Amino acid sequence: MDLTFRNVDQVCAQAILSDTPTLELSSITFFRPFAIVYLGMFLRHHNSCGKSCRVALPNNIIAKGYLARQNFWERFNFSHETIEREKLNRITTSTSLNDIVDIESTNTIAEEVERQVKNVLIVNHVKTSIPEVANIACELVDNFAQHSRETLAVFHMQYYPNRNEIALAVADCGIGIRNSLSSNSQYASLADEPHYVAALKAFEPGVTCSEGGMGLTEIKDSITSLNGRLLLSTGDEYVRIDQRYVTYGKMAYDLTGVQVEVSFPVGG
Amino acid sequence: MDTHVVDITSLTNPCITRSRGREAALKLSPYIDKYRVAIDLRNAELVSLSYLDELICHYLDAVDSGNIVFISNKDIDSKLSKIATVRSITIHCRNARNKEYIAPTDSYLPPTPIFTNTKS
Repeated sequence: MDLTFRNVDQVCAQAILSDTPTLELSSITFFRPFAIVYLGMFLRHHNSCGKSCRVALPNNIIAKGYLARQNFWERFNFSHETIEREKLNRITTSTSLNDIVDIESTNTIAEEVERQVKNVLIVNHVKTSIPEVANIACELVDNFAQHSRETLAVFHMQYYPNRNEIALAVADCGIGIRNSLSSNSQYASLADEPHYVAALKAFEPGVTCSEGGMGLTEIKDSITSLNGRLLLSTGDEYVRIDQRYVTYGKMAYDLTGVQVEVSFPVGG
Repeated sequence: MDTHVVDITSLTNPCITRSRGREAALKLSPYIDKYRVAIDLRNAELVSLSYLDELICHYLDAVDSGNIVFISNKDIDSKLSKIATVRSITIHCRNARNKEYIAPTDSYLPPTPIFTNTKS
């Protein structure tokens, strides 16, 4: 079974139902980027609340090996406040398309990620609008750095040559879009609205908690021009933008922060 | 007043992120009072909306009055149009043939979201 946007929230919601919370991953054979970063944030959030979670590891050797190669459990299964700085997996020139990368909230992090994404796309001869895709990564990371009020997030990029697809995912356990926007008195009323209302508002040009407010607008425009798709969850709701169609709905689990996956078809 | 042409890539490269836009705005300041400035945006690999917005927001009056003009192309025009709408200003542009025009405003209509019980 694939773990994707469709079911990762249910797996997390199921995990906390019992007295001994257990993440049931035994039947998982494949992880989509959204699922991997969502799962990571779920674990990180739980651990920061002082809760622990047992894990039923995937029976599938490839899926299990994938998590091991990503240092998934070391990375997420404890409070990030306790991670020694030198153990943060910072971006280096050797970063491959398959790495999960910890990103810190710094002034230059968005540009660092943009450069890295661009390099990886060039090296792999991916046929797409490289500057545009790299800029989407940049804007997603910049949003985290500017608005999440969290020190650490995660970035993940996956190229699927057989499917002719690129997926980028960014996730944090920060304050989320609703809290961020409603801190601006102009949008204070959003505090009483569902999460999806705030999320959709954030895609409108010029809407922000402080200054600017063009990043998500540009991402939405790029999704349209590249025939892509965006999945965003914040709190207990999600927004999905599929070219020109926008849908929203409930997540089975109420996770703090913002988790996003953007994917595009690329030339074969 | 003489027109001074500034290649955007001479201010910053790359031309992305709000903080780079701020950096470009600061580098531009010595020219603003002395010249009419034409910022040539065409040589950048990509000029992001955030970058352009930050640059323009530093000089709203100069942009609105036409003391700053942008040498643009079709792709960048759509970004300038968005900014002109959101910031309620007139943005003066010039094309490759030196013909001046005003970036059209862009009426943004939020999409109608559809609720769905399934994520498929």
